[in-house]
Amino acid sequence: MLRTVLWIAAACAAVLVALGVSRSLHFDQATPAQAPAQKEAPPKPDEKVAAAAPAAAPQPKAQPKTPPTPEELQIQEDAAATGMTTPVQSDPERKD
Amino acid sequence: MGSFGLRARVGRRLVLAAITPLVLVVSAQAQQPAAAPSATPPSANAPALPLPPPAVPPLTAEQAQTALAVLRAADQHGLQPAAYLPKGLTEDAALTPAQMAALADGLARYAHDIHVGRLAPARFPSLWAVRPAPYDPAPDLARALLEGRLQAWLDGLPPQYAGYYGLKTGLAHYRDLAAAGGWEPIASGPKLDLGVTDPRVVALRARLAVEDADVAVEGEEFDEALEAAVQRAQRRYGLKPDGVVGPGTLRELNQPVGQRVLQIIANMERWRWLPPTMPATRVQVNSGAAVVTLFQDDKPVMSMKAVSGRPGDETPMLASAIHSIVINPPWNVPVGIAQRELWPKERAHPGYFERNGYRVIPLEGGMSRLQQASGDHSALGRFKFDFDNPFAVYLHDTPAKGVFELFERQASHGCVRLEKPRALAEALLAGDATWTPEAIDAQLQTDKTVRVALPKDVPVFILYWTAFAGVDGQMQFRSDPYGWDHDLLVRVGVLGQGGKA
Repeated sequence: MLRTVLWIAAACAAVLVALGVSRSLHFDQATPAQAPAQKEAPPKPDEKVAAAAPAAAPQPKAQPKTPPTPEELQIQEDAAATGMTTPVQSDPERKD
Repeated sequence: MGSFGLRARVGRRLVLAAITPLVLVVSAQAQQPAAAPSATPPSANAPALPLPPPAVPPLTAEQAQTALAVLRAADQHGLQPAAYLPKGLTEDAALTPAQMAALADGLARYAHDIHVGRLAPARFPSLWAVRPAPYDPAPDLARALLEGRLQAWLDGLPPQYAGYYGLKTGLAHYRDLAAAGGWEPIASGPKLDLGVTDPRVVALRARLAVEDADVAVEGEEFDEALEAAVQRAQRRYGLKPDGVVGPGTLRELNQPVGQRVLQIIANMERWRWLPPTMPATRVQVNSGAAVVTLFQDDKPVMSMKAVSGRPGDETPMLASAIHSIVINPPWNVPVGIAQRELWPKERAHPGYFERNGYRVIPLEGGMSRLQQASGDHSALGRFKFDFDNPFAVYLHDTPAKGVFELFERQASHGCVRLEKPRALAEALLAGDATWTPEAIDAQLQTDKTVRVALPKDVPVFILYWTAFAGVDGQMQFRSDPYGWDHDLLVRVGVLGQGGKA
């Protein structure tokens, strides 16, 4: 009898575990829940230097940029005057 | 039996102990409200209760510090930190519960103002028809706090456009200039130009040097280097770059630095009315500077001078989409223009209508309207670009090309006249197999009117900018021909009614 009861108890425990696991997998949501964004710790000064160091791969020679023609320059000036609505990703001046 | 009874009781209790959590979990799940998909409409029988406002969770100490730092820097965006910061803040003391609540409230107001501006929808004049969508920052703020990304969320709130950040840099620079004393006005007097020797040249040099590091501050002689510096300044102010300091140039140079700061703040406010992203292909007009630019793939590919509405007939700010081009358009003269301007000419010089291609079209009730035939004399020229708007304005060609030589080109009745309408028409019709340049040529040989639907509508934005950063990053200013900078600053409370902007 005791063995039977223990089997039942073990089965129930297994059901509970399975239920818990299924809840953690969020089967009822269309997309998996996103983990909260982890805030990155600021790098130490020496890490900043390392991050700023150029990669070891050889860099291709930069092509000399041809200056804009007067007409192109005028278009750029006029674009600035009509509102330079080209997107930027974030404040260019922001220093993190 | 005794031991069996004990075992049975123990067994029953073990079963109960094992099953109870299961029952509790199942019953708890049954009590939870079903998470309905957001797209599911509410049941027709269920009464539609207003949703409670989303609760903004309390800020953590770290979030409070982030919030304080951002609000203290609100002036970098032309906003006033005092409008958002809790009262009675001290440097080191911890925030009281009341201050924490006020901080969360101020943060939400800041988020609203920096994202869509400070002007309430009801306070927009009718001609300012570029308006932001209503924005309630509370749900986004709550989410950002819960997900621990307050700083990133706040960083994404200002307009993410190069033009806005150019103004932000300019605002910091002109505030620095103001803090350093700004500039002294140059005394009025006869014009200053090349070869002149005058004590006022010293003041002119000092004034120019504040904004232009290449100007030598010594010397009473107006030399070639100074002439070039005057021309650079004239370009920055949208004036004719003739190198001569006359009344117009003097007026712009003598605007106080504080005035320029206010001008930048007004323009930053307008940037917040734009949509968060712009269509890749678009036509943009600045009625304040009378310039038009065509963007394709988010890059400016064509620009031209324009003529915008004169003060009193201001070109409205609006967003719409060009759907068709009329080649050889007739001009259906608005009643007001006919009565105020054309009928008096006909009465003073009979035959004026006939000589200029106007015909009187009778209407019911004894009324009439005027129409000018298409052709070389048509006030709309050879091209008209149509887009829906409640102001009955459009972009069009003009036979009066001389106006494009002017530097202040606010001279129309509200429509926008284009310097190079043919080029714009060809660009918008590119890819249309029917309306090739040759077909347009053939149509222009006749005076026959034809409406050409664009293969795809092209968004058009008529905006009003009086301050912007040029290609070299230097600030450029225009003279606020409609007085809308001052109006805006009064409406958002930056200026009192008598203030100057």
